[in-house]
Amino acid sequence: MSTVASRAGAVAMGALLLLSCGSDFPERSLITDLRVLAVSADPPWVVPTQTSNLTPLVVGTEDPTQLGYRWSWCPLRGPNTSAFECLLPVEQLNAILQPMGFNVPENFYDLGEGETASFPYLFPAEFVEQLCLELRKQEELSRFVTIPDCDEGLFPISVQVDITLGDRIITAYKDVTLVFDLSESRALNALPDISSLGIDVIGANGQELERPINFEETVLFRLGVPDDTDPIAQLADLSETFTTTVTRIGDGEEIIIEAEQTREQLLLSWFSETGEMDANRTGFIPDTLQSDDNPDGLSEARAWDDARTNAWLAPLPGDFEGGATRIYLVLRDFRGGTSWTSTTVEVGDN
Amino acid sequence: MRSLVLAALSLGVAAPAFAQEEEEIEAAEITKYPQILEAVEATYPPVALRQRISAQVALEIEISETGTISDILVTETTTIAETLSATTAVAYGIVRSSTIADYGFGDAAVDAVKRMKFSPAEVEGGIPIPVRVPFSYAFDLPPLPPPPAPPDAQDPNRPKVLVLKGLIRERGTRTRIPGVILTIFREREDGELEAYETTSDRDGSFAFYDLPPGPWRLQGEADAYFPLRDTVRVVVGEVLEVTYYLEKGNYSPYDVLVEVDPVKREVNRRTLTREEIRTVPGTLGDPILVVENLPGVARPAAGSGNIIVRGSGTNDTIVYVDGVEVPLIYHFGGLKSVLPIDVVDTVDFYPGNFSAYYGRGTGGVFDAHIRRLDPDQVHGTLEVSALDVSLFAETPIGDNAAVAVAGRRSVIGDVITAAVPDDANVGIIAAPVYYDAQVLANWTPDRGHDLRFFFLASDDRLEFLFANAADVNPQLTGNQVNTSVNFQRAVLEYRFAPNETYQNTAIVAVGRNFIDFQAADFLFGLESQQFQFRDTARIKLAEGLTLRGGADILASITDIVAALPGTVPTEGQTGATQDLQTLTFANIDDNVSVEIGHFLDLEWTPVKGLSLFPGVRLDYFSEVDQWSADPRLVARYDFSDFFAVKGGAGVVYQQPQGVETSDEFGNPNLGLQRGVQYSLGTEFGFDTEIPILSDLRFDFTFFYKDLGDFVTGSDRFEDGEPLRFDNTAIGRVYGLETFIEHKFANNFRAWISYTLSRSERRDQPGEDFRLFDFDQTHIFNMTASYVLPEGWELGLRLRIISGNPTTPSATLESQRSQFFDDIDGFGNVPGATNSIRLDTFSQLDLRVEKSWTFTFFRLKAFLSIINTWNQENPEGLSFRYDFLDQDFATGLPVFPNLGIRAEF
Repeated sequence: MSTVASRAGAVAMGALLLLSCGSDFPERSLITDLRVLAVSADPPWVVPTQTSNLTPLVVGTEDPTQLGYRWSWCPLRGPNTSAFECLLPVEQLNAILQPMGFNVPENFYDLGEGETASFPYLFPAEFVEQLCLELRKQEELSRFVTIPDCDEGLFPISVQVDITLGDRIITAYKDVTLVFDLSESRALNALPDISSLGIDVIGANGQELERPINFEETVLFRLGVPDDTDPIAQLADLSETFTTTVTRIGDGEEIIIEAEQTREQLLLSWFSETGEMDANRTGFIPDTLQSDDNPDGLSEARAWDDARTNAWLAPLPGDFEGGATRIYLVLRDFRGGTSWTSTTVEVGDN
Repeated sequence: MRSLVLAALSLGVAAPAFAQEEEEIEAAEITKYPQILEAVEATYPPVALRQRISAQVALEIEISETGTISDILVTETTTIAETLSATTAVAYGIVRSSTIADYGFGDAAVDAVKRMKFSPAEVEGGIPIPVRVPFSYAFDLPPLPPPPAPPDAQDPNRPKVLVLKGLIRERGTRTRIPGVILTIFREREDGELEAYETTSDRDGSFAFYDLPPGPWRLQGEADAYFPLRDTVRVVVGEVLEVTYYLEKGNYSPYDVLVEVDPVKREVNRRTLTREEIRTVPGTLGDPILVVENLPGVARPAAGSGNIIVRGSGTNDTIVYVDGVEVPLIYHFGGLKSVLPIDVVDTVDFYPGNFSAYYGRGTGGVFDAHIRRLDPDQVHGTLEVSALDVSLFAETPIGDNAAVAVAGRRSVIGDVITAAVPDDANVGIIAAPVYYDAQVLANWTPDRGHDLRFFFLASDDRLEFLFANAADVNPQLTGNQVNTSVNFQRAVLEYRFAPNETYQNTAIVAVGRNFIDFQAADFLFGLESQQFQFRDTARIKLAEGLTLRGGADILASITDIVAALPGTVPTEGQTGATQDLQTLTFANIDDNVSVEIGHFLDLEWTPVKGLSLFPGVRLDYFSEVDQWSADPRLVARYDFSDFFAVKGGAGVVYQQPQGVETSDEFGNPNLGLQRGVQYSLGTEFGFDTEIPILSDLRFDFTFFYKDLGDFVTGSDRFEDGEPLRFDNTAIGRVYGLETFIEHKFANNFRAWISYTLSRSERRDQPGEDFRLFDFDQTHIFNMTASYVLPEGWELGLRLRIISGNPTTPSATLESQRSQFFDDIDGFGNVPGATNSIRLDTFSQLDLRVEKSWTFTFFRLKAFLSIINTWNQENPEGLSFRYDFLDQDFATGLPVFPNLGIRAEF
């Protein structure tokens, strides 16, 4: 019997058996040290002459001015077995592009040392298209890295930022998608911006909490909805509908490749400086919505409510001296769009 | 039969009847005594008549002046036992009891006298008077009827007269016991001992004929049973029927006799019987899991269901059921194999250097032999434990056939479902459950012809729903996981053995494999029709020279539909991160795969003690369109019954896994993988009467395995397409297997197996050798079972095994986390492959069983405790979300399995 099948069964059973297993590691939602929670590229997809602004969300340090930054980018990043090195140094890039008349300077990948960085798409779309086509021919460079399908007209490049604090170094990577198919039908991904939205704190009575949170009290955090906005409309705004080429297995088990309208999947990552989040992440997964194929699925309103809500257990008095603490919420649309918001809550005896 | 009445009336002591008239009567002399006018015959008491007792009853009766009886008093009853010869008493079945007082003679006499008529007594002048007179009533026996004519012993044609027939069964199991020696004897009147003997036949029945009537002592003797002692009474004209249930002196599971091929064509073959398997601690009575305790077998990861033999890969060991390959070995979680123990007679395990009969696997071979049914009546078992419920029932059909059915359903899934807390991030739609069912039949229509049928069906299902899929893996695009794996096989075997020099066995198997796995966007579906044919002929060419050859054909037609990550990691690539978002799709219809094997080997004994087994196997593999030729040789020299040396060398080829040769996920140009196996060893015991020493057997075997052209993941491209896999890997495995066995004796059985091993791989030319994923330097297993009185049995298994190699995290070492915003995850840079080793694994398993034997069934209660001391054995590394800290992922905690088993 197939290795895949036997592994599938083992994985499924293993997943179930391990449900009760846990480790002593701190939850990823708890900020205990220097962390990069997100890197935003605005816009996430860029066209020639456009610039994408890159901003990291760095937390866990009392003095952000001590942080050092080093930004760079790379057209093709290696897998973990090659330590995520850039697989296309400038010399090699030039070797590929020079026959086509392109030549780039030595510091072509350098994006500076600022708190933020900008990626200017200042080279012609043909450059990117040619690069894409050439890379697909470069067998040795492709070592288990998925080379973009040039027919899609999109080429993601990888931006890297090394953030230092004393001896510590954290490296974060962010993809920025270069659009080289500039046809008018091309819809660009927009940033799902939640930076202006608040995080509501809901008490046990289902109402917004007007007082500080008690020690050990469980409250709900919920991504706020502006007063003049319907939650469904807010969801539609954040989870864009886009056209993509979908490969799927048909009812007759045939492989179907077709353009399909689909919704963005949203991932909400929650972080706190103290206390305990019920879930590290929540999400809006369109495949789980009620449909003809999934009659037991959730309604859109319910799915969005579930996704934008998380429970939080306030800390014990011994673990936290009381006072203000920050809550962060990062939203990703799985097409490169990353945005965040945060709030400060008070914890203490009432 | 009537009694004889003696109406002898004695009136010589007559006395006046009334006191007030006493003086007058005395004064008047009786001139006429009462006379019997009408006698009445008393009823002879039947018990007394049967026991040949006569009697004299003395009465006093009062006769009135009118002659009527006014009063009767029994004054004495004297009984007399007729004197009989023993022969007469036996012939007529006369048995006397001493506990009956007067047998009813008194009452019978009174009743008769009351109904008699008398003339009154008279005094002078003819005057009637009342009198009280003594009266005696005698009961005399009628003569015995003539005895039956004795048979004419000289007449050979006279029919034998059946006087006693019986049946011998085993107490508890009701199994008919053949071969019980029965002796019936008595002491004759002349003091001589008269004895006869017979033996219970194959269905446990016996009979005695022409025994003279009377009491006989019956004794029965059978090995391993308490002796039979009884007294029976033979009666003329009657057939006595008896059934005896003999209790086994010891219901040790190790008393079971099984048919084991006595020819050792392999350097090492370990055969385990059903009952041995059932009671080995720690393996839950599973016929495949138990083999983990044998030398050469490494410990797989907990719950993986893998089999690792002599440092070979998890897919390199082939599992057969009576020579037929089965696609799936274990149910979910690897706690139980698909074969329940009740349908298995023995399991043969070959760690290497097996004969040409087997092929297509460079690891080892398991061959589970299905039970040959021979029930004398309906038998069965029912077992309920925390893991599953199983049933087995068998029945004879006529004299030459039998059929059995078996079934099993897991219950552990229900336990897991119940244990999942309500607020867990998972909802179980369908509890993990496995079923399997078997039908067995065998029929021997005539001498030399043997037909067997076996059907096996297995089904595993699991379906669950994540309440918050995003918290499981941010790349999941759905929240439902379901998997269903099932297969069926029908196997028909015909064995033709007309004489001792020729034998042919043909096996046809057909079946279907089915897999349906879906997890979010991942999908894998497979449906495959399977066919296997195997024919083996064996011809004895001369004394000490036997030729065996045959064909082994495996064919399948498979449909596959898949949407899976494009790369499947191979052994040694566990550190690589998989791209779970880029899926590869496949839709394969009617993929025909054919594997044709031919095998030929000789059993040659050129001189006494020396056995040579040269052989060759030719295989064709359609998936890679290649032929292979596998020469094999095994030699053995038995210096005595207690000392032998053995060795072997052989080549085995196997084709890559299906996924590795597929266009979509692998490399269709892959070729065969080659293993060359060498073994050299010795077996010995002690020719001594010293207890313990005499029961010990030792086996030491050195082995070396050279692996070539093995499949490994490839970075290379060919014609612009990634190869994904190529045949560049090589490997070497070497070590020593030690097996020390204390055969069952003095209620004790134990074995110690220790394997010293090293298994290495080199994935690409120019690279260094690295450790194999499951290289375990030291593998120590000890099992011991002790059968105690009163149906108790205790067992333990101790395992101490080197930890598996694993790949460290370079990220952890550098303390530099690498965060990927787009997947909200961290990357782990692996260190050198398998360059560190997990801590040593140790585990103690215990098993306690108590059995009760009733006349018609046996009941057993057992408790198996796996990992008794709850050792936290590391199975792998577990990392913090950013890979800057690590811990060990541990295996199964202590797991008690309580169960009850009824055998009838």
